[in-house]
Amino acid sequence: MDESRVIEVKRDILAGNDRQADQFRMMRKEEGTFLLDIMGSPGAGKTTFLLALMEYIQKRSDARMGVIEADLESDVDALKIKAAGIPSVELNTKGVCHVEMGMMKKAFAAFGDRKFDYLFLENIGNLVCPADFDTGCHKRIMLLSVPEGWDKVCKYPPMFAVVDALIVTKCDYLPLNEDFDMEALKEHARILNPKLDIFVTSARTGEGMEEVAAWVCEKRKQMLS
Amino acid sequence: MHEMSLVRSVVSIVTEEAEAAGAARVSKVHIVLGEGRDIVEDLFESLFQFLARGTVAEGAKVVLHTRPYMVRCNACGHEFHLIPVDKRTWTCPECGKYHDYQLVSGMEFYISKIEASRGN
Repeated sequence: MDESRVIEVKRDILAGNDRQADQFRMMRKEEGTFLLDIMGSPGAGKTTFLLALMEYIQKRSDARMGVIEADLESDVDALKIKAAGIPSVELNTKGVCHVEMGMMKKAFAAFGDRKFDYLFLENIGNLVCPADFDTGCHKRIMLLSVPEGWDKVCKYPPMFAVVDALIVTKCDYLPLNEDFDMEALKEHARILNPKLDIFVTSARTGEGMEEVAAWVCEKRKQMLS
Repeated sequence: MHEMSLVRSVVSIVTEEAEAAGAARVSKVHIVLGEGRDIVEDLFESLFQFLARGTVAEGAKVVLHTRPYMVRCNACGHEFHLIPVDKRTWTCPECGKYHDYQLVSGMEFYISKIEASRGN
């Protein structure tokens, strides 16, 4: 006799990772560490932006900062961060296209007893997969560089939908890229994410960096209050 | 290639639920998937077949139920289908309010139910 039956499940597929992320986020908050997840495609300027951001934060307050550098291979970026005198841990995913909580916890543990006010995760250069995986950070931002073109917002909607802020980078290239429609980008980016904060920056000239640093510091203050 | 992580989680939830319910064989796994989840369906299905080998879910069929982006108008409460690349859908068809809404669906990603039997 066929005893086929339906078992109601209603379980979130990402729940295991999400639970660990919530716990991790809570623990870092208790320590006063604000975590920021930085996403964007390869070449969007994540490392250069991050170095500039830390410089601007340092100007505002004497903050303790650290960086988790996630890459498929190499320690090129972690070395750049170390050269700037900032402690960093390289998280090599060996081909995996995103960061999950298991990796994040291991990378964090590698800092040992160090305490931070701000800890940055430079996520894998990718506009698709990282959007789905909570990394236990308090806020998530994404970078889109002017040379990539404004229309990436049409091609990768989930990434633009999950972040708290969109940082347009390399705006010093705007005069060379006449097709870059800033207003269209802003309008499209807010279609799935009406509350999205948007900043236009250049790490090279410093344009917009003060505003981003103020936003990051304000988010940490809100976390602590 | 984030499908591997997702399917690994699907297989673990399915085997856990099937075993808890005393099922010996799972024939179908129903997954609800929002339009905003970038999943390669063929890859998802074949990875499932690979990772479910040797478990109660071996050979089970994966049925994906896609949910579109739906938003609720902040002005009148009407719910409508939003297509991110189509400007005509950014305005509430009921009251005409432009781009003033909350996302209510389109990011789902869960196992709704499984079909299983006690015998082989």
